Amino acid sequence: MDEDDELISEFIVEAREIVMDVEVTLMNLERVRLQEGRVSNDQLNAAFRGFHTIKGVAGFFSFDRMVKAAHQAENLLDLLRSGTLELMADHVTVLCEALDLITSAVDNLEATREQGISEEQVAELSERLQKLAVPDVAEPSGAQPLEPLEPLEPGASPNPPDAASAAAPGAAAAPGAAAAPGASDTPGAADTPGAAAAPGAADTPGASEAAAAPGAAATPGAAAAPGAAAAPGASEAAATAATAGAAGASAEGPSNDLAEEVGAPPPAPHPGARPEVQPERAPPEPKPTKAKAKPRSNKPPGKDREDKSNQSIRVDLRKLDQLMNLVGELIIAENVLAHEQDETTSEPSQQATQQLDRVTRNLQYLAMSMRMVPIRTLFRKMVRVVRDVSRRQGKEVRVELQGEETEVDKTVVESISDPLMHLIRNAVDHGIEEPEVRRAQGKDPTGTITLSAWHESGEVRVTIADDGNGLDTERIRDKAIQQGLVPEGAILDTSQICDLIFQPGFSTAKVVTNISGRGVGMDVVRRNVESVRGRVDVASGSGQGTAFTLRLPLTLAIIEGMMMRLGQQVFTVPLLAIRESVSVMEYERVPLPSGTELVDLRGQMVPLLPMRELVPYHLAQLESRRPILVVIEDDGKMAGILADELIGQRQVVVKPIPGMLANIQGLTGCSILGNGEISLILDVKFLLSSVHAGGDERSNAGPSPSGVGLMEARP
Amino acid sequence: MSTSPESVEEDAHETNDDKHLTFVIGEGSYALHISHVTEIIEMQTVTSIPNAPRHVRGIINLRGKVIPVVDVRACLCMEERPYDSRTCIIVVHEESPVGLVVDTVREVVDVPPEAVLDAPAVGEHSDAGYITGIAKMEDSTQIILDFRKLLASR
Repeated sequence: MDEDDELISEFIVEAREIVMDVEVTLMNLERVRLQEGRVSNDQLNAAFRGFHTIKGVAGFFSFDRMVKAAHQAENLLDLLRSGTLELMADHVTVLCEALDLITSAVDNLEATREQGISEEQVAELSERLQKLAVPDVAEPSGAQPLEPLEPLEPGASPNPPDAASAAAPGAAAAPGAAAAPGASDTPGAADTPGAAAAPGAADTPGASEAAAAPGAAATPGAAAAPGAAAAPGASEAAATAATAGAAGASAEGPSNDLAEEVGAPPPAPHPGARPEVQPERAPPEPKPTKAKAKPRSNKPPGKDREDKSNQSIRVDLRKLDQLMNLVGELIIAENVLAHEQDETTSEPSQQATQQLDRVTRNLQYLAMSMRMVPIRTLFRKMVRVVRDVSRRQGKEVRVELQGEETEVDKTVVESISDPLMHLIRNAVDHGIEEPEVRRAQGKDPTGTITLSAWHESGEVRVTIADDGNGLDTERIRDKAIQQGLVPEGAILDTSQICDLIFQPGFSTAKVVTNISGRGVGMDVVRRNVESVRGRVDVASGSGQGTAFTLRLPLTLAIIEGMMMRLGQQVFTVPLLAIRESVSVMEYERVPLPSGTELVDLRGQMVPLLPMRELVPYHLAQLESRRPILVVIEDDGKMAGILADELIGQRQVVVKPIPGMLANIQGLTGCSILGNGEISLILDVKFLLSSVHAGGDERSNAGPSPSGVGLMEARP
Repeated sequence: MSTSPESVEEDAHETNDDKHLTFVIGEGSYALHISHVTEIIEMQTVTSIPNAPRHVRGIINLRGKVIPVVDVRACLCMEERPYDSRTCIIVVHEESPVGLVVDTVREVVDVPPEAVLDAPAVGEHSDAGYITGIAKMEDSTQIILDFRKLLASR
């Protein structure tokens, strides 16, 4: 039983990974098809293998419904890769749904060890898979008229000749292409089943004309390409079509493959398929693509990935956490040891301590780096989100990914997944305009969302930029006044207005859709990002789009902190939050009737964080007559902390405040000092907002009730 | 901690069932089931946490682990008294470790189930149910505490 359980756990991890890989593969397939008008058989095979593996393992545990779902998806993919069917957007959609169903089964498995999904769900999916699995011949009028409704298809444009030549100019050179426009106009031409005609082209030169015709009618982009590719293999037209480069196949490729390929599925002779095609900024241009593909024509796709997997193993995340904890404890022990060293310590002992110090630092670095994962997986998940949302809305959106290799702490990746998803949805929903609107504005009807990540000054930056209409500052302002978020007549600069979208309850969407517009979200986005000590910035230009930048810490486990002593306790303040520290005289403190004290900082009155908020009453006594004023600042708010002394600046390992105290606000955690003492790490953002609550006109939008609580909780 | 010679001879199963750690708070002698206790340490510097509940003294560094420390006196609504050299922290483990500050720790004793009498519901805090029984021993009387209920009662 236990062994079974372990196997199931392994399956869960594996299935999740496969689902993600297959999803990425499907997205790639679709993108390549749209941009280059060809379908990579290797990728179809990869997707097929994914479903097949899931089916196999699920079968081993007799999760019959998963098996059935995977099996049906496999059937469809089989038809696609054999060339019986041409890949269409609908296929990708329903295959994604199959993945979703499997994912939900896997989720159930994890929770209950049952596959959970219902027979009906599987039956429904199977039905849709089967419907699509029928070659066009069964419903000559069924699949085709649907096409123009697909906003993402190049072939969707109501003008078939345009579509055919735009999607695959190569096809125009092929003899069959001439027949294409006519074929799509007259349904009668489609009577020749694409499935039967396409292989036929390989057999008989004469058939190539017929093959290209129905193919182009079904899906001009993808279908015309294999048609043309099949032609050179069988007919005199080889040279012409190959030069046209319909499928990025080199002239050599098809003729070499001729012998084996005769009678075989037409899309097969594409050794030139590029394994990972970077999104292209420009509209599809098959010729340059061909040139790029040439030198790599014999490289199997996914080779890079294989190489990588050979060198890595899967490790349970909990073990990494444990390792990190142990290293943290080692550092603390080492600190204690270093602390004990003095001139009486023997030479060897001192040297050993130094060596220990070096080793522990390296170990810490290594343990940290093991938690770092490329942001790639998260980014790729977003491609699917964009696809789903844009299709539902009839918008055309392409996603560009930059800096996928940027490494981020696993925990950080997890915590920004939801915010990122939200921002992406918003970008499609609010940012990118309808294709007609874009066309009218002289923009590319296909909108672009750029997701990029990079390292900068010890942080990770993630940007989500769209080239949509930008934030409507006028409307945001009006709406905010209407909703009472800002007083009437308030003068706000652009960045302040942009900031308003993060207020709870704020929404300018004219219509509430099921994607966005309810005004919940942006505040959650900000909160989630801030919960990992990150921040969100927004920049927007009217008509030029909006860019959100997430600034995230590299890791949550360590911060650069300034340590200070207040009475008998030591506190740590994140270094980034410290503006300055100055020595002040006691008498410069000005008490207000409210109890808050102000302190004079070169003529500027700065509120003091009440010391009783930091240390219990009986300890709240500074020892020094000349305390140090540490000025903390965040988001334009300032406050002072009076400290007895500054101990110094250090990298500290952040530990969480244990369970029963975890909901105490004002602290982000604690760390253990070299002498074994504990230092509390102050939550600067929270303390600042609580000391400014009520007094600041910007925070009256909603001072957090908990903030007030901290100020007044003590009897 | 000293164990009585009899308990050593008994088989492990039985002993673990009956063993209790006894400690003193004020005039009273209390007992905790040994299965909850991980270790006993001497009093150490406690880092107080602002705005923590009154009975939670703060957090300590237990060999690199940060654990919260709860004053049992405060839990039992007894008058506070300064910590001295006999003050101890009993580290108990439920989901996570917690330190219980007690006046002093006595010994580990066997409390056979038949010696445990039901505690009558008297006094203002009786309803919290953290007193699971009174053990009537040959030479002493122990109040048996359920520390989970004790912590939850606050």
